[in-house]
Amino acid sequence: MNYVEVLRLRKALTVYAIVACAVLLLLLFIAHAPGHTIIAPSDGSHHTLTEAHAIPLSFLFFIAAWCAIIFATVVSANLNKEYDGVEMVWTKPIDRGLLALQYVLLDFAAILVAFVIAAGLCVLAVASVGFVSHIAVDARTVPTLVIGLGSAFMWYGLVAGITAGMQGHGGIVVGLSWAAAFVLVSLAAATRGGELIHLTHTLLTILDIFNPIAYFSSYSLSGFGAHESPVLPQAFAGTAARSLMTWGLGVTGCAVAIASWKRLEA
Amino acid sequence: MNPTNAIAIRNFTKRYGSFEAVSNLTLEVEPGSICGLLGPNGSGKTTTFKCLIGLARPTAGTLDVEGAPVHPETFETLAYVPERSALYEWMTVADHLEFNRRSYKTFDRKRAEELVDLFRLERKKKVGKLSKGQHTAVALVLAFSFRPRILILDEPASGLDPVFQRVVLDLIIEAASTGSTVVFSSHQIGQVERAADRVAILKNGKLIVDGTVDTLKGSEKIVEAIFDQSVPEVAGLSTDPRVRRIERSGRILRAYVKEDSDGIARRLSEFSPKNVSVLDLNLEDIFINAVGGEIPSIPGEGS
Amino acid sequence: MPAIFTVDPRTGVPLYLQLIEQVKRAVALGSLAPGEQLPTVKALALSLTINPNTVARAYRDLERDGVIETSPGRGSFVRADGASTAQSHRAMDDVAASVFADAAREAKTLGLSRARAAEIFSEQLDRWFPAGDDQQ
Repeated sequence: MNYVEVLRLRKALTVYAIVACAVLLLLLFIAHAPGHTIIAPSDGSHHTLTEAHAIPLSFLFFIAAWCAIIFATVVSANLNKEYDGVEMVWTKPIDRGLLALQYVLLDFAAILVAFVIAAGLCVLAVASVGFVSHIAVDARTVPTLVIGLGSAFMWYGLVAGITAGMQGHGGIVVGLSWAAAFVLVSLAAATRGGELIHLTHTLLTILDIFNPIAYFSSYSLSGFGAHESPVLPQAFAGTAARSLMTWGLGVTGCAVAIASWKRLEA
Repeated sequence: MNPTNAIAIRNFTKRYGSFEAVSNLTLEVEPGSICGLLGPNGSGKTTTFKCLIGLARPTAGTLDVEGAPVHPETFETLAYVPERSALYEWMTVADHLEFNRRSYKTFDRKRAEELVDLFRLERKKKVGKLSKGQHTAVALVLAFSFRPRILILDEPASGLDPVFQRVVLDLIIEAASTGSTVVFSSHQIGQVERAADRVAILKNGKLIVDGTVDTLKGSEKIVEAIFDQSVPEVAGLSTDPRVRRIERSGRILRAYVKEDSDGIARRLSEFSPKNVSVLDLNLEDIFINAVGGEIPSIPGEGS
Repeated sequence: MPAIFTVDPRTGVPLYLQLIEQVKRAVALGSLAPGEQLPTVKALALSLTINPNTVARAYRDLERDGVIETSPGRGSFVRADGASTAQSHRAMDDVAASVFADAAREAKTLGLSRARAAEIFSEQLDRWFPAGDDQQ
């Protein structure tokens, strides 16, 4: 009875995989161009492919997680999309809440698949220039994985929670969520420091508690350090807090989505 | 009536804000029978169906299927065909069949294939590329493919040409003859007349006619009186509860009667008409009389 | 099936009554022979596109009137004795009486005298029952 969602996800993943491969091919084309190519992590340090430095696996996971986040937002309004066809799905011999849960679990599985595809393509990219042996696992690998996937799941949960009870227009919310997320982190980072705008910054950091990008920001080669985040309140800045908040808010959002979908009227 | 009728709607009311879509509706459908639900657009038929199968919640009253409100198990043997297409435009006909196959234990693959051929549907075609009538056909195939005990069909002939309309009627009749209960709404009153045991007519959310087709035809009549000179005033006739409405034209008086046509005929005879006769009505006439009488005239043609 | 039945939902006459008359007419005219099997309720309902309960009711009344008999499992059959034929002829007399009543009333409404009405009727009889064509 969740067959429709299976088909939907299959379509989405196919498109996603094709786009990801196309991007990969483009990057490889650029990488093999004569001269240096630069990978530039956000802490400003530079590496070039011709240098034999370690490539942290966490960095590949960072990229893959962003791809997963994009995919997650695309499928986050699926329950909302289903409103057009409720005469079909709500007249089947299955409890509505159980069906919504199945949708959520399927979506989550698809997000994981999206992550794996992206990570795999990253490894392929590295392999194409012969540096597979340089991929290094370190203390940042697991936190990046957890928080990255957590951000994706959190974004999915928040949008689903908001849109599942709406009668359509889910796409608008998805679009707005991207705008809001980036605006919030930019403003929060910009208002940091300086006493005049300290209050604004505080307010923005509190809003950022509900912003998935905020948790996944300030990745650096030194990881999500226990030092403060430029966009989150200090208490939420540590690795453990980020992990808890992203997954926790994701689960909460999904629970709200399931409950409001159950209560909907056609 | 039987406490565990196939469908039992009791004192059902549905309000959307201040608008009352259905008012205090009571209707029962016996198992194995066919009930036709008629009414102008917006009279509350679709709202009733939605609340019956749990797509919406009633403001007051109860709607039971086989003795209890609808719950997930009910849908093992209940099929619903909605008024507007709820199919997925991006999925093919075959995808929809697969969806049903996975949803119902009693899905009959052979029957489904027969029906797909009967309606001349292409399995690989995306639903988005189908005509309106073909949308209806797919919905019907899905509904009849798992042999449900109860069928709720909202305008099942919508968009279909007369040949396929007959096919739909045949499917309904066949289902009833194997013991299934069918409730369907239609604007094709001739079809309802042929196929239905009972007819219920809604207007503005209220039930104004409810009975078997034969009983209705037996009681709803026109009593026509032709006079020598102009039609006399018959005191109290238009307010008589047995009369739906009156038409006067030259020397002819027509009383559209809901019951006791003989009594009304006797009453008119007191005024010494040249002739009094009682005329039969078919269901379409009965329907038009019940929901408001005259066919609206086109503006510009004069009164 | 040999006999063709039709019903017209557009008239005000209930369908089951129409069906009963059709069967009696078929028996009276011989197109349904004594002992012959009638279609099943389901088959007849489908071929006429009418409600099965309508057919069932007609069959019940036909059985009550002694025109047909039903054995469970085997089906419905025209009664083999003379009773069905006698019943059917009586029914045809009733139908004829009803038609003639309508005609007489119409003649009166048209303003004809009794004598003139009888004249016109006699002309029609001559037309449809030519001299020497003596039916039972």
